[in-house]
Amino acid sequence: MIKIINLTKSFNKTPILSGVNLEVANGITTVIIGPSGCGKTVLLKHIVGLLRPDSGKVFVDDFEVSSLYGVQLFKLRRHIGVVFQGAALLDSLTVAENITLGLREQPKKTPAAELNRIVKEKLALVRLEGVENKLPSELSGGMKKRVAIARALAMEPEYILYDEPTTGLDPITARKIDELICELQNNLKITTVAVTHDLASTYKIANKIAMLNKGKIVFEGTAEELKKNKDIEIYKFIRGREYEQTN
Amino acid sequence: MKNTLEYIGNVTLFIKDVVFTLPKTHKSIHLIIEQVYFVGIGSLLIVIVTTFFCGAVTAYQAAFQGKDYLPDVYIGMAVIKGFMIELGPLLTAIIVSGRCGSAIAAEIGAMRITEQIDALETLGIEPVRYLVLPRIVGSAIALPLLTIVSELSACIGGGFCAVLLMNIKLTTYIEGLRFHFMQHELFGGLVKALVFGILMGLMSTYYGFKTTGGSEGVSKSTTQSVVSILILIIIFDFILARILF
Repeated sequence: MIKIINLTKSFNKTPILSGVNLEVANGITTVIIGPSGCGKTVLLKHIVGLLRPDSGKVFVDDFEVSSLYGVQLFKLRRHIGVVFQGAALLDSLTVAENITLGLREQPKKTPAAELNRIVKEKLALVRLEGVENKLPSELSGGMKKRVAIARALAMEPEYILYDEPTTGLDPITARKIDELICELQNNLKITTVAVTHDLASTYKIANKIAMLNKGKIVFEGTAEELKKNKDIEIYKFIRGREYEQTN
Repeated sequence: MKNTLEYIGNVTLFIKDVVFTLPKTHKSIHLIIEQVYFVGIGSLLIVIVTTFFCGAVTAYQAAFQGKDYLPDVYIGMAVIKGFMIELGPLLTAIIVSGRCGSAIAAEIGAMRITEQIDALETLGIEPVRYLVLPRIVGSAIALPLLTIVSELSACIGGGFCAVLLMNIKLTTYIEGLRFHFMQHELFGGLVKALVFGILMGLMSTYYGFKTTGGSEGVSKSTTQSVVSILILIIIFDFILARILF
């Protein structure tokens, strides 16, 4: 379980998160939505320890992420797969090298045959076979996202975090990525956290939705509850227009 | 003043991270070999061509300036002394910094802004061990080797100029080289090259790591890295000259 308690974070004295409280239950997909620049990615980076809070705590299982440093933090991160917004594949490595990077750099060496098996298995999971030897520059945006998912899965994580998984993709590819996220969650039962402002994607993949606005969680619930919510800010966000009194 | 102190503090913390990662160097051998290849083999041609002509210019100027009152044997001396003590390590470091220092800063800067460094961290890989250490160690190995090549190339360039353009006997030129060759000067020059290599690797990775703000940020950190490397090389050249010779 991921538990965020009263998390605050500022950049250059500008508050981004102002007391975020959130619980992410195991085995389901929680989607954090909110307008651009509201701090969704900042929140995600706190979960994996890439940013440290000004105050508050982030727990992953029984570990307080903000209190971990060095080897302990790296050990915890091996249980968390992250799929970054731009995929963040290493340009100089092939698809296969990217997928096995985390395993190859572990103290305990994995045999080459095992690495090859993992590459094939994970690429099959994301339905992208035959690209093992291609460089990231030879792939489309959607393919890069799939490789990034395969790389995250290669570490056999208990949690997987998606940062804007469908941003920058055409609607058809975006829906395919949504289907893939749902499929992986159903088959592998990995606890999933996604941050996005794509509502179509949110309705498709979310078991639980949390909305972040002005540095706080302003809504937690299901997609149906979100649609029925009468809060002006939520109304504006989910309909993309100003509040109408008649509604 | 505050910015300067902040800069010194940040560089010091970065050096501390690098030093603490040094015991893990053996885990990055394959990456170090890649960097030695990139810095060393990749810069070979440009270093040979540049220092060949610099050697030729040195021989030409020595012959021209000393015409009528210096014996021809001193042309070899001018080339070997100039390059072993000063020009060999300095020119090599300047050429390699322009070629590789900028490339390293730009590569790591681009990795920073595209979250590739964050991705490394989430895969349980220490970015300093994976990206910084191999580049520093690789540069520290490659620079002295390139310096030896540059000194040889300069001597050959000087010989070509002396024999073909100044009508000096090859044996006289070689005698000048041999007579003024001092082992400790060669060693001193290589120590300089080693330090320049460390400086280049350190500052280029530092600026790459600190990159913010998109492609403009990459351009800025690349420029800053080359400028700071060149300034530091000149300052350390003076300090090492005082210590070593």
